[in-house]
Amino acid sequence: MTAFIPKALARAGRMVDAAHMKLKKANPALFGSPIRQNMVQLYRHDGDFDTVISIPHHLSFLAPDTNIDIIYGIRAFDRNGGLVAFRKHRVKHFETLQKPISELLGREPDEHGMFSITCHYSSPSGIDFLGTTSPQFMTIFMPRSDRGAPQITHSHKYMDQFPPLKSKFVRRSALVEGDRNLTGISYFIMNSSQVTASANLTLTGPSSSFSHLVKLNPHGAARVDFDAAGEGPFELACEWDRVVNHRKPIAFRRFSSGLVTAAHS
Amino acid sequence: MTQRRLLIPSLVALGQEAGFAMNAGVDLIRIRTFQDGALAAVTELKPDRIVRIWRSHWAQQLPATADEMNTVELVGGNIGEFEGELCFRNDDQQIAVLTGLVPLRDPNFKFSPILHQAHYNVLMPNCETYVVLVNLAGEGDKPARPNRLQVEIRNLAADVLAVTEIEASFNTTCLLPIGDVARRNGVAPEQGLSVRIRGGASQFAVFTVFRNLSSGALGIEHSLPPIYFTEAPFNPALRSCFQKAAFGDLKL
Repeated sequence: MTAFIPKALARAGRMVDAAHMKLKKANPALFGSPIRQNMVQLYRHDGDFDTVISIPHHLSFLAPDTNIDIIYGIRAFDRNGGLVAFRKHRVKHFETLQKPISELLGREPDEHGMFSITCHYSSPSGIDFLGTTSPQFMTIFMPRSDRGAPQITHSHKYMDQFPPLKSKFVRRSALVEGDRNLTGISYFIMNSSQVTASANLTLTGPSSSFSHLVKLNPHGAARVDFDAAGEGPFELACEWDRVVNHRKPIAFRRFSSGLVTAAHS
Repeated sequence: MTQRRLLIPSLVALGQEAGFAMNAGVDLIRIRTFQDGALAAVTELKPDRIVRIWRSHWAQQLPATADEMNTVELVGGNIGEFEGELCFRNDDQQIAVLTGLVPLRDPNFKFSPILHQAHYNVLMPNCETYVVLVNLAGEGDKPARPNRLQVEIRNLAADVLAVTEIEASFNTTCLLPIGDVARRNGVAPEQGLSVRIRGGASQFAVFTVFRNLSSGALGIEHSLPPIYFTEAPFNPALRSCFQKAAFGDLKL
């Protein structure tokens, strides 16, 4: 019964969302274009990395014969879930918006946190054939070190529309970690919901396993460092106490060379 | 049911050994190694549940080449929503990316052109951005027709600065260094560039690799094809209009 209620509510939420999109598709001039909004990702603005966000004018390459401005909204939170800033940027046909996050926000963000991207179109005309669209983007982690290479991850899940109810579940990463020169892994985990959530990260290696429990404020983020060294293999499992949308911590691996590489888990 | 393959590009040209990792129970892993577009070796492995396998562990009689492409076939087990991990290493670091398996098409399959919007380039004196195009036309004989793609280079303010064409041979890895291609076409890369790549007639997997030219350090991510931005490619009612809009002007 305890598992049934969250599933039923999740299904009801999806039905409401589908009905909303159907209305938008039927009459975008009245209800607005059908756009899946609020995709989230991690930013870092610390001693190791800064963050550049790269957003394409996606209607340009999907519907090149149109000429619609896209107004992007960028909302960033600090690690405790407090709003850092919300700024809008108008992007014209075939332009690209690619700037450091501090420039896009008009202020310095926290050392790390979550941000989200929304958009709306200056006109709904001529893009009916695209159906539902989504403002995808790329996040580039620019190394402070001269020796490092930029790391990159694509936009992920949407911010939760409805508060996820309590229901424990475990997500196991498909990434198998380990390298002869690996000295450690830092995972950055985000709470895409508007309620407090807890996550227990467990990294299991060939001889031992380590766990860290983190409590995340609404829209908060946390960094968890593991002393995972050597070939492994190491597997990450993340046990949430709520069915949040975003379930993929971002891994930053540290190597004895001093280099750091990243991937979503 | 359509068979699926994990495509592994070669980054030998960037000093990296390719590999893959997986955490799934399967009965057999079959790796096919293509060089110069032709099947050069087949390796079969009976894996543990968690495996990480490097290029030096298969087709050991063949030195890895820059145009090499490997396919991974998983036999047995439940791999419905399986994501494969591609990994690359040198003595200083390892990079990895999770990516889906691509369908293996029949010899007469009519491929749609691909559309890759490479808007996320980092082009600085010490950094190059590579678009990595790996493609699988099939595991039999190579098609005779060419596999051509148009490359359109714009600045971030949308001005078209150059349009050129490339050929990505079937069943190979093709590295496209954006800064280098721009310079060869009289365009200064440091101003910031966005690149639209369209065309081809094969099953592609596209990645972006950033490279620090001083240290050789890399970063990698898979591309976001149009289905991430619009439902149109997989919606039968919308697909033909989308194809006409996105590719109607494309002449190769």
